[in-house]
Amino acid sequence: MSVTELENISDILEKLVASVCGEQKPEVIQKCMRFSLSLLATTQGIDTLKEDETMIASQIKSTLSTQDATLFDELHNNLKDGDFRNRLGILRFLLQMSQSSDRIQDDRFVFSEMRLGLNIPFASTSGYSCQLSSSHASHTQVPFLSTESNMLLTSNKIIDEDSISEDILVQDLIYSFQGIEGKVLKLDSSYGFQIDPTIRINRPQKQTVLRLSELGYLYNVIQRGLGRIVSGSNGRVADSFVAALHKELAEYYRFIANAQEEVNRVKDPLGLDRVTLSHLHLWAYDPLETLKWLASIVRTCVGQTGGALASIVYEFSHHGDPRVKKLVKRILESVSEPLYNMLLRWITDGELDDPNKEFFIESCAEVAGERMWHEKYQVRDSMVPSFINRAQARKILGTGKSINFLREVCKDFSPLQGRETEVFKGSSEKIGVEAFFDMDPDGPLQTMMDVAYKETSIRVVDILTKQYHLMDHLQGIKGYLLLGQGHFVQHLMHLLEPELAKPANSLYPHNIASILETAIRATSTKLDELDVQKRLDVRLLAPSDNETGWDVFALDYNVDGPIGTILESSRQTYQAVFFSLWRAKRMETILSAIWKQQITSAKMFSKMPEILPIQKHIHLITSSMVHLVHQMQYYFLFEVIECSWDVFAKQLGQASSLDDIIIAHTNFIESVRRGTLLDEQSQELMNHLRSVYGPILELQTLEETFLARATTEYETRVSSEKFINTESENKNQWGCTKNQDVDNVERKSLFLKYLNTLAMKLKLLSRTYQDRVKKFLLMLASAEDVSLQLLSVRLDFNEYYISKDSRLVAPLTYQHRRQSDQSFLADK
Amino acid sequence: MPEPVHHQINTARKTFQALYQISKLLNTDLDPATLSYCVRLCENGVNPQALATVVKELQREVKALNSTSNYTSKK
Repeated sequence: MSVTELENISDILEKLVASVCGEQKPEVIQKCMRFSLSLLATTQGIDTLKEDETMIASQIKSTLSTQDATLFDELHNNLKDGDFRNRLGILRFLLQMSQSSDRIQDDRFVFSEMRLGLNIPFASTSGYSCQLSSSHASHTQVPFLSTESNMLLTSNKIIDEDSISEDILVQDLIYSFQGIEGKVLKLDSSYGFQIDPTIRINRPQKQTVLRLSELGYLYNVIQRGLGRIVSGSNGRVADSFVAALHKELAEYYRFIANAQEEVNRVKDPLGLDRVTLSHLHLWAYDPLETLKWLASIVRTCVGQTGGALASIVYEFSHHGDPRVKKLVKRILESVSEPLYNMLLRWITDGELDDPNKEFFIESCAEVAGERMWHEKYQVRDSMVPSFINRAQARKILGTGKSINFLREVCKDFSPLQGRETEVFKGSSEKIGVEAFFDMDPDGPLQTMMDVAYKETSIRVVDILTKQYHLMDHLQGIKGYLLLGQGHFVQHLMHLLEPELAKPANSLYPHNIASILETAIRATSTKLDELDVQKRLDVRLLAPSDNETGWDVFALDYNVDGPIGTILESSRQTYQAVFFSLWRAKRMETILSAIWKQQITSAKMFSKMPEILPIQKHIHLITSSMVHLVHQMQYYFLFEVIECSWDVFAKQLGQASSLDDIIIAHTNFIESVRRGTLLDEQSQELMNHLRSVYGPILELQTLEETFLARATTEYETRVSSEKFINTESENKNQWGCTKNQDVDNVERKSLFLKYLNTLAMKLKLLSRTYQDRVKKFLLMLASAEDVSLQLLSVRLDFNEYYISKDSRLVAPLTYQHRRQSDQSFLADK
Repeated sequence: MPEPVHHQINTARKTFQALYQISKLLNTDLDPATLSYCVRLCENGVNPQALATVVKELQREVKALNSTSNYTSKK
């Protein structure tokens, strides 16, 4: 409303008051005037519900009788000819005037509290007349109205309170903005402000005051929250959060100061340009919005520290309102600053400077040595700011971890390469903190982190392969532990045989170790593998009863330092694999020994025709066993280990970080374990394979006793013959006595009997063996793994077992496969 | 009170007459002078409901003052 217009209205209003009140004392006129002005001013611009003229007209008509209504219609038409700007307003006014005061109270737009509240008894329902002597209202008006009559005092009180208390309210509100109680506004239990219930103010003012007093409440909330964060002394991130909020609050303090300044400047009690509630309302709009956000941020941040706090603040930054976004960004910048500095130090120098556990990487001081890579540094999940994703966090972790790995484990203290290049130079100045939480995938910070990660990782890989000869060690393990070097294993087996045949508890590691050394020296030609060979060691498992050396012997490979980081965890697996390969190798050795003996003794036994069938039988069994053992060994050594090794070597060549190497190695170990039937699923197969080996051992003992018996038999025969020849020739008499003849016959029949039982035993043995092999083949054929099925086919290459057992055919047919697939699906 | 209506153009007076009649129909208790002030206020954009309240309050106050001061109310 412009000033001239206001003047105009007040002029007209003055005339109106004069015309309504008639002759009255000038004070009364003045008070009435002031009341009218203030009421009209407060309702100025408040739009009532949009009403149209016809609606008002029909409302008016409804109050009138029918003939009056027609009269009204006529008059209304006349009225439309006139050039009123606000015909609707005038009609509304007239309607309002005609309605009784009760009706007005029912109306949507209520002014009941704005009544003049004179001393008429029924007016006391609104309660004002009783409030004569209450609080400030009375003492501000006492000097003003002291000469007036009691009645007039009552009538003027409300008018005065209205005009004077606005100043007080404004001052009170400014106090409340700073969280201080005033005369009217009192703190309540939840740090909000309430209007003192003993003080009466009219409703619009009350509403405005309450709305404005929210500022004070929010301010209190922020202050209290900040106090709690500070008293918790939660570290740097929290500190910088508090500092940022104080900075934001400084803006708010400036607003309060300005408001107070304005109030002080315009100390004109009657003037129209006093600071009014509306002024405050207008000025407080922006600070109120800001404080609302600050308060809600503070409320959620209380009790949070470090990265978690940054995450919470970051969540607020996804807001559509650019003002809010800017505000949150300012806070977020300040909050992430310490984190960002920690991050830079971590990825450039590998140092953790985090006394309050705020950073998202934690270190465990006790861990060292081989476990350092795996356990010393971890991502602290709760502290990962939400603007950093898992992959990034892992990369960041990897960067610093690699640096520390180089220092601690590899003892490589040379300065890191490439730290002087452009990317790193002055990175902290060049790349602002925003880059930290913007996380632009192509941003300079990302590039820097990527470069740092790549460089340190490659350096670790370099040092491992060049300085620590990772490949040599792996080759060594493959050669010795996984029986890659056949001649060494053969030799070792040969040397160890007598030692390992002893009971397990009479073995001494140092004896075996010296034998091992002999075997290595005898078989290796390369001198540069000394380091690898030195690491080979003998491991004897804890012996139990009835075990021989074969059951407890295993080779071990000592690793430490950086190589240990990779290999240490798989030591057990290597041992287990060696154990099973060693066993297979032993079976092969036994069988070849049997075969050798058979061949060498064949000539000798050719003179004993009764032995031939036995020999033939043994020979048959042996060759079937040799076939199985060879195929199994071939499968283990070539199909499993060599193939996995090939994949592993390829992955190693591509590995760009220690983690890649570790993963590749773990994969290798896993595939070897699975291939050599040592994992959980093939437990049954492995057990069965062991039972297949059983008859081989039995055959060995049978063959040995047989050989011994046959040799003694042969020798006695030869000696007796010789005896006969020499004796009879020398003495010219019968070479043998009757006694000797009887002995000979008895011995022969005993020998024949032994041969019979041996034949029985062999038959039994071969049947057990074949049964077991058949079952083993069946298990292989029905295994999930295709290579095992192929192995089954290969083991039974001439279909010898298939012809004996029709069940073996089934698993290989298409029909069976389909059925089992169906049953598999049905199970699902 | 004497009739204060300024003599203006014919139509304006006719309009005002109509308005005054409506006012009488509605029992608003307003004399033509007061009504004209009110109309002018409305024309200046004053909230009509607030204005009605003001006028009523003033009327009631005057009545109350008059009755307590033993004045005879005049119409």
